[in-house]
Amino acid sequence: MLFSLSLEAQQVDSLPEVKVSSTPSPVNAKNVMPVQQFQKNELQQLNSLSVADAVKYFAGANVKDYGGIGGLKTVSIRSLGANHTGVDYDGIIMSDAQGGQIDLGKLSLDNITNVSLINSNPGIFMPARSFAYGSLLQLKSLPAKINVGCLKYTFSVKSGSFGFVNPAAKVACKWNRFLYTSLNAELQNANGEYPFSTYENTAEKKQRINTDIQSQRLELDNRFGINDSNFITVKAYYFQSERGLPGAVILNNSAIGRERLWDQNFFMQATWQKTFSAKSKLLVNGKYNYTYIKYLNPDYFNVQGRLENIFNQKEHYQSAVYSYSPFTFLSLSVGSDYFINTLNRTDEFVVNFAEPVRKTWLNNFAIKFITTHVEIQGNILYSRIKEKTKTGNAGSNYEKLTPALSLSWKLFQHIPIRVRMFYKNIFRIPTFNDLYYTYVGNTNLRPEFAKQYNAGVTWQQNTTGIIQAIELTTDAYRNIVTDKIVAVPRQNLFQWSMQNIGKVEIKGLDVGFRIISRSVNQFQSSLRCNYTLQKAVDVTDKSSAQYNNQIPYTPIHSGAASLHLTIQKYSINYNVLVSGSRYKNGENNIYNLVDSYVINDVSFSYNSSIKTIGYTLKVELNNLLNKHYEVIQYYPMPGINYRIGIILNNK
Amino acid sequence: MNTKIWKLILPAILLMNACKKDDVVIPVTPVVSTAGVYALSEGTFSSNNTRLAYYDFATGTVSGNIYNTANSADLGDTGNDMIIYGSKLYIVMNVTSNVTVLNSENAKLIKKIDFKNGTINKEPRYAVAANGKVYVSAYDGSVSVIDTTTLTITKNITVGSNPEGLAIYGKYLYVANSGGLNFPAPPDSTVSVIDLTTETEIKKVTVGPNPINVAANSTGDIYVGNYGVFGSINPQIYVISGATNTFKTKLDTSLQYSHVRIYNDVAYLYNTYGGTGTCKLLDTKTNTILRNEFIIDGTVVTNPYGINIDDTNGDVYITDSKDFSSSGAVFCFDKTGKKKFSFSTTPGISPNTIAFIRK
Repeated sequence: MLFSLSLEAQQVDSLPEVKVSSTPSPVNAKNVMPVQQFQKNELQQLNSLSVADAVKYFAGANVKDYGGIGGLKTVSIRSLGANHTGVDYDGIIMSDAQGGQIDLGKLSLDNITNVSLINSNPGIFMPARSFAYGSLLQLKSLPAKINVGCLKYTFSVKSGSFGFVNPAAKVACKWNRFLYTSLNAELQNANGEYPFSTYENTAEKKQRINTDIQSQRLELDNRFGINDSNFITVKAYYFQSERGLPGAVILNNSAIGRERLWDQNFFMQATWQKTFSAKSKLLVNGKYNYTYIKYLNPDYFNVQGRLENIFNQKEHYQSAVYSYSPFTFLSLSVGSDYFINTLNRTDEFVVNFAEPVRKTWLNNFAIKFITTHVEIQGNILYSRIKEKTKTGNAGSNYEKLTPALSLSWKLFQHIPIRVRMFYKNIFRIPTFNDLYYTYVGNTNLRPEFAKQYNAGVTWQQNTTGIIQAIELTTDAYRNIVTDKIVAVPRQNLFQWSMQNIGKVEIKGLDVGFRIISRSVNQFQSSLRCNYTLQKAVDVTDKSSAQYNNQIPYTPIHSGAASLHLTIQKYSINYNVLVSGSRYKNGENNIYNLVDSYVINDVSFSYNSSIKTIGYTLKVELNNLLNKHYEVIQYYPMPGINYRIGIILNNK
Repeated sequence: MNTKIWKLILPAILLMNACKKDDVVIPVTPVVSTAGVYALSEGTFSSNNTRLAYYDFATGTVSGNIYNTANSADLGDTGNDMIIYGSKLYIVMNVTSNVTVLNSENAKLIKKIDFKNGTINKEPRYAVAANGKVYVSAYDGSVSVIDTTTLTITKNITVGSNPEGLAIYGKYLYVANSGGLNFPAPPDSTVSVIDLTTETEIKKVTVGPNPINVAANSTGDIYVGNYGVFGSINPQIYVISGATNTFKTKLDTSLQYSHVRIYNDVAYLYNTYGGTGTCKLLDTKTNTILRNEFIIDGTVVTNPYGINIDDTNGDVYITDSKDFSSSGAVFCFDKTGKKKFSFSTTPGISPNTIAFIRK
């Protein structure tokens, strides 16, 4: 899982058309910092629909999942909190200045070829904003190389339990030597009405209701290249959905919630990459992002008899990074990002909404020193944030200088063992909700800081025998979150206020193991496992019952394992996900305990072709043991469920 | 809450009835004392962790989760109020949307009375009792009448928007119509007056914006606590005359309190979400401050959330909601403001109401 930073770096740096190998990647022992990744074929092996489903299998990742296909899913890496995770789609950060957390459940894996998680320096030839998060989740939809004039298509249909229907299509064409276009469209529909056992003693079987979702996604990619050292990519992305919000199951209550959420996201991003020489290259990015959210509660006891919130969010983003390598062992880069975020509210329930405008200017200087034994990466990020509002006070302006440093050292000449370390100090700006949410927002908030210290060992061995590659990685870390932004009550009803009062200390251990066999007589297998140990305790207030207690919804022990077998045209995948018990509140008593769970998923697929049309038939069985479990208490997760699918493509 | 009210009213009613008869009735003052207290903790929203605790005076021990112990089940979500009437304990469950009726002796469940309008929750809020009835306000704009023998809702009386606290004086029930959910439209600012003999609203009396809490003194002054409008109008207390059911006066604007309890014609003024001090004492006969701070021994209550007064001896119980996510506590003070004892409501989070069990 921690393989291919260098491979990744290459793709970004200079060889954009390197086809990501669908066979196991060769082990590359140069990862300075912990990088975990899944490639397309591995994503398919994980029975995953959304990015959230895949990220659950990363060590150190804690996905909050409110259940069902339409349920909110956010990821906190190494207990820093979801706001410290940046999500990068094809090289540019996805933004949500309002809530600060990307719902990974909305990001379909259909068009994604690679998901990786990076905890420290993301490389040197990256926009400044990539350095501005505690950890970075990278999603790639890079087009695979195809020949000029060739039309390549993929059609797929999946269907399964809870009224799930999911057709998707992708058509790609390289029109000529210069221009490549791909168009991808996907629909997801589900009523989401899965059975669960009620929490009363009768443990009656009921259906989750108001769980439906309809979503549509369209993605258009263009790549125009004079050659591989001078090209432009343009991506247009549109997503919209409507879903029911079933809410928590309320004890002794049979009422049916009718809250709903509509959302739209459109963005267009462009990248120009120019390699001047082996030493010198430039990357220029631009993006426009629009997000619309409408929330409706049709059963609200006010004058109108309903409550509605409509938010419109925009971002204008531009970025440039230039990298120069005076020597083969030394590279330097400077990057500058400037972006403007705005938020307004247009429902009839709004009064004096702040309508904030935030201007962020990031400047980054990065350095990379590399020899056969040692690799060092460092960066200093200068952030400057200015904020204005139409009405009321604006959040403070900030100026911060934050560093990160990573070191990797190969201990022995012939043994592929490396020691690696990193330090990173970064902050997250209060979100628009933190600052301006009616009544709750507090414009005096300061940024929330996360300091990370990591030390690890990797052993990554390629062999010529039956075992093609084996890898063992261990990372120990200590993180400190200070000035954590939390909601606290203040005078008057309904009025909670955001305050910088929290402090969290995290001690963790991530262990990863992976083994890949060579293909012999059309038989090939691989196994990957990880284990995470995390003590993440609240150290805010010594007099509180929560002092030194594990923070909510953070298991001390968690892990995952995936086994993959290919026998001729058949393949079998078995995935298991384990979470230890967690506490739903900061006070660690038995009443707040949420049970541990083990989830088993299995899938079978058959891959063949008729003439020039390749096809894959796939059957997935999820939660095989029909375990009734919850990630968040009173949000029951689905029991055993199935999906079947067919994928067609031309060769 | 408001157990004291029926205890004040009931003897009067009994006496009135008694007077109609020719028999000579010798009033007997029974020796009543308190055996223990229930503490209701609302829990955290959408977490189904409302807890009932019982503190036994004889042993000085707490059963922190006595509803669960007695019934092997949980109450549900956001227990907002409770009263003891007769031999029963009525718990008003806001999000679960029912009134859960227990045997007050052993906390055993007797009945859950659903508060629904079709499939929609009515979201009940507060309760008071008199004349064999329990009156429950609900956010849908109603006061429901529960017959305490059949434990069924016999009538729904339409009042203003989002009614909250209730009080009874004479034959009238006073209901604070908060309209607190109307934001940004203006909140309600009325108190509904319901004639309990006909169980109909006879009028609405205008008070300050967003009234939340109502209490009556012995001479028929109805004290109404208003939240005000956040950012523009401060909390304030209005007084209605129970004799004429009209606005009488309002307390000085410097007294920015939303909640009031009355014992022996002394009003205990407080806020449920912070503010300075815990509780101020006001003489309701003269509307003058008796004491600026009730607690005199330096006891610190982190976040006073609810106050109930034991009308057998004037002991004041203040619940402490702390940070609204850790287990809370209950402090008992004698009437002079000195701490008598305290107990933790573990696992109960955000305790809001105390009810008294008599010997």
